[in-house]
Order: sequence, then C-alpha cells, then structure tokens
Amino acid sequence: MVITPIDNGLFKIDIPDWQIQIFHNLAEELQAIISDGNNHLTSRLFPVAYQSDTSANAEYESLTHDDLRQSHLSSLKLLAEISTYSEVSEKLLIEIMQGINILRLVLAARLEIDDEESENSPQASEDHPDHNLWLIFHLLGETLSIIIDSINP
Amino acid sequence: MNRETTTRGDTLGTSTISPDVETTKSIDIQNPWVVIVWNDPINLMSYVSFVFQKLFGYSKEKANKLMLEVHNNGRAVVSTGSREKAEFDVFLLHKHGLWATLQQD
Repeated sequence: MVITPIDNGLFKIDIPDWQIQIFHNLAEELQAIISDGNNHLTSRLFPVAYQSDTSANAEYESLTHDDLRQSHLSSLKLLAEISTYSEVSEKLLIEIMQGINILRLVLAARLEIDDEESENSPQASEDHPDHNLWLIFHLLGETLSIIIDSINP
Repeated sequence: MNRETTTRGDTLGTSTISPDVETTKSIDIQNPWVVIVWNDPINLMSYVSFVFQKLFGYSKEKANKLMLEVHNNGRAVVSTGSREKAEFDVFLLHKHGLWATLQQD
C-alpha cells in the first residue's frame, strides 16, 4: 500500500488487488463475528473500564457497549470497501486505520500471540498451518505503520 | 474533617459554601479520576503514540513519553478529570483498540 498526501488535506491510496481482497475478506468475516456477538476472539475489543468494580463496569458496559460495537463495525465496513476509495480525508483514513488495528488485535488472539517477539512464534515456521495468518498479521502491522507515517510524518 | 482539605478548599474560593459541601468539593478536586492505559504486546508503539496525539492533542514528544511509560512500566496515566470525562476518554481509547481503565486517584 502507498499513501500519498495530496491537495486539500486528502490522501491518495494505492493498494494492490491482492491486499484489497485480504482486507475485504477479513473485514467482512470479523463484521459477522462481532454482529454474532458470541466469540472469545473479540473479547479484546471490549475491555473492562473498571478493573475492581464489577457493578460500575456493568453500568459502563450497558451505556457504551452498543456504541463501541457500532464503531468497530463501521471501521470494518470502511476497510471492506477500501477499493471504492482512491482519495480519502484524514478522518476517513484514521477510521480505516482503526479497522486494520481491530483486525490485527483479533488475529493476534486467534494466533495466541502474547508477547512482542512474534518472530519467535511457532507460526513463523513456513510449514505451520497458521503461517499465512501470521504473514497477514505482519502485513496489517506494516500497513498500520504506513498509514501513521503518512498522517504523522 | 481534614484541616488540610478545608484550607485547600478555601484557597479555591469555596469558603462561602457550607463546611460539608466545601469538604466534598475539595475531595473531588484532590482525588480526580485517572485514565490508565495498560501495556499490551500487540498494539504498535507508533500506533499508541499516534492515538494519544489525536485523542488528547498531546505533542509528539509528550505522546512518545507516555507511550514509553506504558511500554516500560506496564501502565501510564494519560488523562485526569471528572468521572464523566474519564469514562469518555476510556471509551475513545477502547474505540481505538487500546486497553484502558479508569479509577479514582
């Protein structure tokens, strides 16, 4: 992916078809999982707000859970439709970035990556069945870095 | 009533309020709610710093300092204020995929 700042605060996005396909498929799959609402892989997307007060946390969740879910779904929808945008505003680019980060968090849960040295993960081995997912996890990280560097050089 | 609390309340211009109310106000001011971001091994350091800049308007230097505090110490206080403000900040951080909680200082 290449992102180029252009006039009027817009950004031009050049993204190869194979990446569009990966983002589209993963974003649609995760939208379905979040909409279903019952999958342990998405628990990281809905963290507790009060660590030691279950009552306050329950009240917080009742007030915010739907909005948070809608926000995640909206970011993923933008990501799934990324091929329709050749130029985007910074606001839209940040929402797309949120979608990529959400995907990355869930993929990390799926791959059970729990330290910062993911290069040492068993999935790094080419004959591991999750090797392709591990590569996608790294692609998402690289894409995040590209977006951040574009907005915030 | 804690004398120190009362004295501090007076200096904040609350001396005309009844003592009980004055105490309550002083406690709120002295014990604000804090928003804590916790370290996690997945979010990129550059992403965390970027989110701090965008959400709180922090300079790149301040955002990087807080990000490194999270990374090195496992947690950092990133904002303070009323409970309502702290809850809102936590919600924004959750929207961006960061692991954040609030508590009274």
